[in-house]
Amino acid sequence: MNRSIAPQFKQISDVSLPEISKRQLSNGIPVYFMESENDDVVRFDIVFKAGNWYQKKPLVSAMTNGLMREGTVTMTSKQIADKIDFYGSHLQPYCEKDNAGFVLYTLKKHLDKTLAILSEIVKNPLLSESELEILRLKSKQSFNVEIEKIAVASRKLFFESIFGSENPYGYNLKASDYNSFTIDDVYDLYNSQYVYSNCYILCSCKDIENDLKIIDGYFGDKFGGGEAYCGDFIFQQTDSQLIISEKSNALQSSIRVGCPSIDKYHPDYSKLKIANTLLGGYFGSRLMKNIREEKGYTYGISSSLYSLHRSGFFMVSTEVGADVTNETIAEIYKEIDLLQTKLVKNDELFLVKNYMLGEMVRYFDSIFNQFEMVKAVVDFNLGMDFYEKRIADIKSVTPEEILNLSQQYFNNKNLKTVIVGKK
Amino acid sequence: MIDFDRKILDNGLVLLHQYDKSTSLAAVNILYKVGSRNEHPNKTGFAHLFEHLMFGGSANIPEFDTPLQLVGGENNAFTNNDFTNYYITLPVDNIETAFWLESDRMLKLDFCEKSLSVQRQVVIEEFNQRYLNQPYGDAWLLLRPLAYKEHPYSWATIGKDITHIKDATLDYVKEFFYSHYAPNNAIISVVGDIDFDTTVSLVEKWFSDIPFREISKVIIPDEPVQTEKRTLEVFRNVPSDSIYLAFHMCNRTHDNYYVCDLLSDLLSNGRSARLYQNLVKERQLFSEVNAFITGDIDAGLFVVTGKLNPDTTMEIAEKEFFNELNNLKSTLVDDIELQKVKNKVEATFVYNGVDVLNRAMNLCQYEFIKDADMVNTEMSRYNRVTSEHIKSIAEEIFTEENCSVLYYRKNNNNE
Repeated sequence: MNRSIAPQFKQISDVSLPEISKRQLSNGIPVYFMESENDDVVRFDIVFKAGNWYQKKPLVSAMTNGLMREGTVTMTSKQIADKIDFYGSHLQPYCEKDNAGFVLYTLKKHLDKTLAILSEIVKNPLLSESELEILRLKSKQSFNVEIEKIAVASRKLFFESIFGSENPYGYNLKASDYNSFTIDDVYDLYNSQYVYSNCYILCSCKDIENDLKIIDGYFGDKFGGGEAYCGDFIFQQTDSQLIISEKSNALQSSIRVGCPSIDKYHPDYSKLKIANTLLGGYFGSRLMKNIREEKGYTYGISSSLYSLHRSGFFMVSTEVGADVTNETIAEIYKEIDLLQTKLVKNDELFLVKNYMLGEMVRYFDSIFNQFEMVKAVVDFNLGMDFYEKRIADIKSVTPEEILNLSQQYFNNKNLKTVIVGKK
Repeated sequence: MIDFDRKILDNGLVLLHQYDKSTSLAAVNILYKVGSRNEHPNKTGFAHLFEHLMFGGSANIPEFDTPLQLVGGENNAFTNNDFTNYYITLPVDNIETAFWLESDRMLKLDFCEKSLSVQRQVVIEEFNQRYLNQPYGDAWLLLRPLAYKEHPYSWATIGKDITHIKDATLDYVKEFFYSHYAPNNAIISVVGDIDFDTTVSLVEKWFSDIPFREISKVIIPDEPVQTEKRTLEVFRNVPSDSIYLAFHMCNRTHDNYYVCDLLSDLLSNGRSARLYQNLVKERQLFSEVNAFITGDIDAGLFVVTGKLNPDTTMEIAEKEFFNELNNLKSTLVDDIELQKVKNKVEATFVYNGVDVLNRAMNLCQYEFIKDADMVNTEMSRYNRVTSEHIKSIAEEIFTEENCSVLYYRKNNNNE
């Protein structure tokens, strides 16, 4: 046996994508079902246009979302927690830049009972002032810890630099913002955003008809009353290309380099994802090879392309030894420049294509992974053809296309650099 | 019920296999029975540094990652106090590539200066990123040597002193490899749409010619019984005070392990748990609380920790934690509350079983602890725990003389 010769392998030709069944509740709420072989567990998400974009003051979206489970008309906060825990379920409120909602993991046998609790939280939350004060204090304390982390601080500065501070995508939260809103702001956001006509539902299940009936029983009425607020903001990049926040005792610097970019609706999105993967999207990427495996400057470096509802962004992230901050930034720019000036060799592109096809297999492997993938397109009113195009694009992309896309979207003139630590 | 098969190769390598026809993804996991508890006190952090070196190329394959990425695979690894774990997921059609790669680095690593010098630097940055340049990041580096005086759990996997990593030599890398990395010191598990016979023949093809090796048998000292309360106070640039209480508890295979695990769940698993409800919600003394067990193979720690709200003093924080612990000694837990934490454990088993990689990791870890069949029997051991067990273990371990306390205070002159 010759160990230096690799075994034969098959190129991945097919990735089996799950089918989504789109149904409606009596009130018109769309429900996206994913059929699962596994009948023991269910994931259920209810998603509202109630994220940061829809708040009139900083933090109100997150605080409203967090406060909803702290007591309803019929149950106290503790009773809710007791029941959810007793059923072995996980109920997680979440608030992001665009959406806010609830993620529920439960054993199938407890689906009915946990949905009963969730529907109370969504439709009849108490939103009490005393619970708000507890949440306010707790959140402020954890903000104070988080903001000490250089990676958190640099990410916030980065969003501010590419989107501007006059909108919820870019606004850089301050500790004092925790004292700037009242329970009335919470009522206002709840009334306008947590309305039946402003949401959708995703559910993994084995028996669609049966589960649809259960869900309709809890969420099928015309709940909520207000008129949805759409948010009306402008994006305005900051002027400076380089943003530095010095930390006197920093052992490391946190670096972000990037720019606003295209969103999922753009036809170039999939192929630009491939260019990004080459640069910093996997362990064997150019940035990892150069800055970690060759130079040992960092424990990790990556780049990502991410789409929001109203914009997208490209971002390189790393934490490096403070003494090699400038060297690292120079290398990041060098690698970005190389993508725009030299055609990628076929070997490397072949490697990235195979890696990305394998990644698609992984992304669609278990029901929980599938769920994330489906949510990521449903949220943009896209369907599985988004991933069919991605797979076709991975197979067909050429070195020339990578070069052109990199020139177009990773242009040095647009890139912002953020350093938190030492320059 | 997880059906799995086991085969032990002549060289001692244990193979565990679970057939799963529902997925085109396969998981291959290898556990080496070496962790930071097997390190020499003057060469700490080595098991973890070594994990990094395992990706620097082996006898016949210059690079580990690239050939795997080429066939659509992904991999990573982690090290803890007890073992080092390497894992791969890839399309099942290409599973042989995983065996080829893993067997070659089990056979012989490519011992090279360049890889050593780069990975030394990477690990130092990891140390900075995760432990030093992070609020509260060094708490565990302080708590361990407070709680352990003899046992090697007194240092963290990253090492007790970064100079140990800086001073690592290639000779010692070789010595470490041959005394810990061997088929007879490893467990491999495979989960995917591949039958047992095919798996056995592929594993034999690639692993059976790797020789049995003598494993270094350094005696790991038992930790002497702690007889008086230990305390340590430090000041750091952090936004709020934090407190850590560590109590010694039993080892992983003892029946009381399950009692301790449920005890920690009663205190802090979920929002209904006691510490959160009483001390965060009701009295608002803390912004964050947690109780957990370290889950180590040898006698481990039961840890209770919290971040204090601005008006809470350390004295009150400690007193209120002890109050909660004392309640567990004085009053039997009622049936509903006990059933709640058991339900949570059961649900967690079900959630964890969804993923092929989790299943593969669990098989190896249980086999390492004692027997892979624990994946099927663990729940019954939790179910046997009664309110009386809870009370009696609480009485046994939650005492002042069994406790190490770390007072992690914020600097008043926050620069």
